[in-house]
Amino acid sequence: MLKTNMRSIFNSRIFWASCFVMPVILLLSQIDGLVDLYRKGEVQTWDFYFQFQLKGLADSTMVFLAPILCALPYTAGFEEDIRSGMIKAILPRTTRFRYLAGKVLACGLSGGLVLVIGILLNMFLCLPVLSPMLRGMEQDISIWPSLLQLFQSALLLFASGFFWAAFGMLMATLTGSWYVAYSAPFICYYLLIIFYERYFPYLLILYPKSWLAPGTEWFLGAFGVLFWVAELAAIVFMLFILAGGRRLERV
Amino acid sequence: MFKKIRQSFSVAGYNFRQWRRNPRIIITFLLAFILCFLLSDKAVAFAEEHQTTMQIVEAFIWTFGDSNSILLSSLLLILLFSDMPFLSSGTPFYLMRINRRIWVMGQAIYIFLATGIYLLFILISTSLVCMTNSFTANMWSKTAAILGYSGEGQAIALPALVKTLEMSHPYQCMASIFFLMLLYALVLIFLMLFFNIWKGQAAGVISVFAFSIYGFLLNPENLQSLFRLPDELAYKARVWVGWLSPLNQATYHMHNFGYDNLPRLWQTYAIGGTLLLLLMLLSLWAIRRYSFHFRGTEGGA
Repeated sequence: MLKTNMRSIFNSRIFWASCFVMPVILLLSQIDGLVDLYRKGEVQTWDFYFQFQLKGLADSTMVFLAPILCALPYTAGFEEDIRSGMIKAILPRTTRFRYLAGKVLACGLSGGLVLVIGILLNMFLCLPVLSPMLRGMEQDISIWPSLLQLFQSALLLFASGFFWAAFGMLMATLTGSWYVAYSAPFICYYLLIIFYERYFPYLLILYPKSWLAPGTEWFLGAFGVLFWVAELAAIVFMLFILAGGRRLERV
Repeated sequence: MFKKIRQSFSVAGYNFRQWRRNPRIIITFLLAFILCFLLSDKAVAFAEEHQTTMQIVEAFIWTFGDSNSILLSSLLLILLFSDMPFLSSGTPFYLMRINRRIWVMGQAIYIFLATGIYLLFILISTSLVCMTNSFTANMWSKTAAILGYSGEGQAIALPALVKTLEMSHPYQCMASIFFLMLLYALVLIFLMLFFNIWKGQAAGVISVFAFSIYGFLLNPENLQSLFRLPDELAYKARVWVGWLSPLNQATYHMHNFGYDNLPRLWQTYAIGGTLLLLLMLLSLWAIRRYSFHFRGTEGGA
């Protein structure tokens, strides 16, 4: 089931459109910095190229964009199957558990992959824009720390994207609404930010911004965040199997 | 007469009953709460940075004293009223018992009340998101004084002008801003209602966007930077725009407090009231030729 779902995700226009939206918006959000760079005309190293990517990912635009983009490709997938009646053709060919597990895993993967593919496209798009400046000699500067940091950011974004997309599917299943499928990740994400920033500053564990850029307060740093988000995703997975199972009883 | 009024309120009440467990309505209010947080963040961050307290409605005053914030908050109303002209499974039964005009009057009452509730929610939400650092007395805070008199408000695009501080107190100022926003939002939604009935649902949405873009483009700062106007001409353009743009009419500091030729508050209320009356009459005229289509799927999310 997972394979079939992933194939339909990779064939959907919304998935690829969401992937392309991310680099375009990231580039637009950094346009002022780019114009400044071109005006100064300073020669930069490849380390700067990776730092530029990291700066874009840490920007508030990305914080705002991530829960919207990861919900777009497949959060309403289960609802669509039920509303279109497609479910009646699928269920005789598989078990309920395999169907539901395939759905939620594909949804999570699509949410994570949108962000990771978006990062790769952003790197690709930035190359011709920044390459005229990247003529500096590396000498004592190693690009590996920046590259590793970028890899870590991509991994954290993937984990967050996975969780929020699966959460969107769970909420859509509980409420039976398309509106909820697309908006629940964004709304819940920002409600958690509001609770942390305005009322409960000690609840760092529920602060989604820190899931994207964990500071020193997190136990085990980025690994701690990955464990925590994976734990939350597992809870969402189980809740979806229960909620989806109940929903299928009425089909 | 009383029977007709009661019937109109019954139609409005029926629309409110559709709010129960309606995901679209819940999402609209949650998004409004998030919008209040995002828009008021600058004011709260400024107070935290200077370690000063705020009056509880000041965040609302500084945030919604800005035309862009009014525009953004009013656009969320499109989601709240996206089911306009509110055809539901109960509508045919109403139309058998009342005439079309009473039905439209009921929709108008619903729009009035729903918009009022939405803006009240915005006011309460903005106060809630900054309440941990606020007091309730009817006096301006130190944050307001720093913002207004030091010019730092302009630097971070918060419209904390000295004339706002000197001409009124926080709650009076809040009430004026609230009514200006309410008037703007009502004109916007009544325009949507009229075009919805007259030319269809798509025309309703397009009219709202056209109205909003018109207000957004007629911005004095935009005009000055676009045409590189000298100060004297920029002032004249500001006065013209203050009268011509509905969005500027809804902006508190774009009014005459004895300094310039901008519209006074009562003039804005009169213009808004006249526009509302006109749009209501046009909607009553348009409903005569409206053809109701019931597909049996009304009210679905």
